[in-house]
Amino acid sequence: MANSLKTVYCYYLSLFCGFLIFSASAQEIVIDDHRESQTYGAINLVGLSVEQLGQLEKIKEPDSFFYVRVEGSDYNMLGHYQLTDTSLIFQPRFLPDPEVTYIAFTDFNVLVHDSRQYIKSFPIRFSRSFKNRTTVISFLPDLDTLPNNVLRTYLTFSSPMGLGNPYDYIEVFDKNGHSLSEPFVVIPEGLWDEKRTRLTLLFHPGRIKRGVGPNVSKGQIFEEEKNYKLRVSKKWTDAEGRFLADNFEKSFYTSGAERHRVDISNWDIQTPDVRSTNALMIRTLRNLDPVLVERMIEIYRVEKLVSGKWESGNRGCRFIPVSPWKAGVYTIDVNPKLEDISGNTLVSGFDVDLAVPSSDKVKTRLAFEIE
Amino acid sequence: MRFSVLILTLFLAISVSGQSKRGKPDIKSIGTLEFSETGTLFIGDSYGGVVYAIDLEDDEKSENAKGVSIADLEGQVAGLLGTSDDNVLIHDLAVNPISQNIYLSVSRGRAAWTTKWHLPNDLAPADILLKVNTNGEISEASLENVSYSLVKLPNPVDEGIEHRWKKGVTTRVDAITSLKYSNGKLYITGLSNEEFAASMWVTPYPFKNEVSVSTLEIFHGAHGKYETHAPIRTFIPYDFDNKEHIIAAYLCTPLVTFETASLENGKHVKGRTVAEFGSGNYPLDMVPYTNNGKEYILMSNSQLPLLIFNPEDVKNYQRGITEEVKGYTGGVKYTPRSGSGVQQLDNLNEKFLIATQRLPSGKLALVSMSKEWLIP
Repeated sequence: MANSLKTVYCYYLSLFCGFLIFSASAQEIVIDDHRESQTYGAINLVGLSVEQLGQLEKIKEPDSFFYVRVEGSDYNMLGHYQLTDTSLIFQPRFLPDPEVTYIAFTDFNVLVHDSRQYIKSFPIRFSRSFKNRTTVISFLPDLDTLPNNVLRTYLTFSSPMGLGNPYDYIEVFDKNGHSLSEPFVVIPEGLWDEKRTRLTLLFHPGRIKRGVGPNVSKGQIFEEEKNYKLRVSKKWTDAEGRFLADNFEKSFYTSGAERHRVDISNWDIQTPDVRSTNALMIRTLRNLDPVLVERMIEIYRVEKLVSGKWESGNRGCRFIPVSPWKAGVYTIDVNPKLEDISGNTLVSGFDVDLAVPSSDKVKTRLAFEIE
Repeated sequence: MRFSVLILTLFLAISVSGQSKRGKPDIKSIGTLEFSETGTLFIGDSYGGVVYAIDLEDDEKSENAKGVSIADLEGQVAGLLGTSDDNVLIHDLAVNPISQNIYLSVSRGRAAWTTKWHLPNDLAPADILLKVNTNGEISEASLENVSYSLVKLPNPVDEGIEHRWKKGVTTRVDAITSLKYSNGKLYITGLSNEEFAASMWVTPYPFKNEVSVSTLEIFHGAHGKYETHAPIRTFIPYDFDNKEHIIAAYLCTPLVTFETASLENGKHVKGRTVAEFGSGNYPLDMVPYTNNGKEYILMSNSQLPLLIFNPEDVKNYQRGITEEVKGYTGGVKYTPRSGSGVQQLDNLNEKFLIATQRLPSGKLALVSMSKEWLIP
């Protein structure tokens, strides 16, 4: 171990004012638990007598007298020592791990060779109260009622999440608190976006589609007109290995199944005022997949794409343009693969007999005019 | 192609600093480790694009003929680093042949491990060097004040290039994938910025004012095509009829030989593919050993078991693989050995090899394997 002992005559302890104190005897341990501090993680042994401090000055390697270990480990943590006129400070090489219990040991036999002395230990924990601990920031669709054949939902996290089977940490409970059996398609690494902040949560399509194996053998996932609760456990760790800040819960009620294809001819468009950046409001009569809406509906004016942002709500969506609306005719082009939250597209219902061809011509374009 | 050769030639004999000095080397990543027969430690620093030669003053000869084992290596290392075992990442292992001390390059934090294709160097640059002595005791090998020299690699692959299929991973982590010392020369494999990125740098040690670089091409039988972009993952220099060769393994797992005499500066060199050991696999390490008076080569893998093959078979497989291999394997045969999860390998002493092995319990163990047991 590369310990360096320096004698520094300063009132170093004052730096620790207000920090956590662990006491087991005349000596106390004061830790620097301030994340913003230059010495965050420092473990400071105070309460030493003038005589003891004098003896320590003569010891090159104080790690035989004062050492810190991960609980259960036989190894002293790497770090360096600093002796002040009031205390001995151990600064670990690495930042503390709030999930770990540390034990600081003092062995006064090293100083006084007195058989009555013994090794004292001080358990230490650093604060878990991360300012920026990762949380679930949204569950989409942001609705309190979902059709009982809901196929796809999304969980968004405030920071990238780590490795780990998401389905070990996500459960759905019925109103009696019973966990539903196998509601999801289990893809061990999860369906993540590139940043690993948005998880696509796919309910088992085989249980949603009537008449296929899992639907027949295990039944459908959700009953109609019942209350359910989805819970994300805080034991899930993010990409930095930290637990989530808290459990996340989303309660919802189930309506009847939605099995028909999405028909845009019955969408109701409320046009905004010219020269404003007010939202274009569309009542879709159907809860569309909020993520697909962002990339599968486009607005054009004179064949030029209009830039802006889509937001989804209850049976509708809205488009907020970057630049003010101009007078003229706009078109709304909808990708026929756009789905509602039950997986129905403009072309067909998710749960439909494909042997029966649809005779309807699919409409994919709407128009509106701003005067 | 001619243009590439010209660039390669221009890079020869520049950016090289061979003088020995004392202090703390400015190592960006302790990615790959290798020892000379006299106990000089070589560190391949991919981020720095530099190879360091370090005198650790660890020169007390050991006559130990026993193995070394640690059941929970990551757990033990975690104690030193002040964290839990799942936050410890061991990148490479090498044994000082003089002292038999085992050196590990290590970093803290592996939460970004998201696919089976991630290698430790993909996740974080290693920044700690640890030593395990013959009693299995672990300590830090300080680099604060050491005698060292260095050589800068000409034209290592740029940091700004993202790995083709590992999102968020820079190809710079593969600037140096492996390095070996043999007969006064250091062979360094990895990726350069050349049109044919797979490269082999060769430099004499003690370092002088010269580094040669050759780009490499192989026929990958499993893919049925010639390849120039994937780097050698692990290799050893090996003599056939007093001519030194490189025996190298690549991802998915072709085994290829190159004659070192052909590795001239600026040359594009084609290897002879002698085996396809199976796709879907990273070869992780390779070590020669002696069993019953004969030399064999042991190879560890990310997905396949331990493999033993006979270097004589490699030498004798003259025709090479030049057409797509239809089955899962082809060419030189290997003997599979129990030892799934074995990662890093090196010779420990006359009787034992040393390895890291991920056990079914999930723990990473330091294990010693008797060479007598490794019957081909």
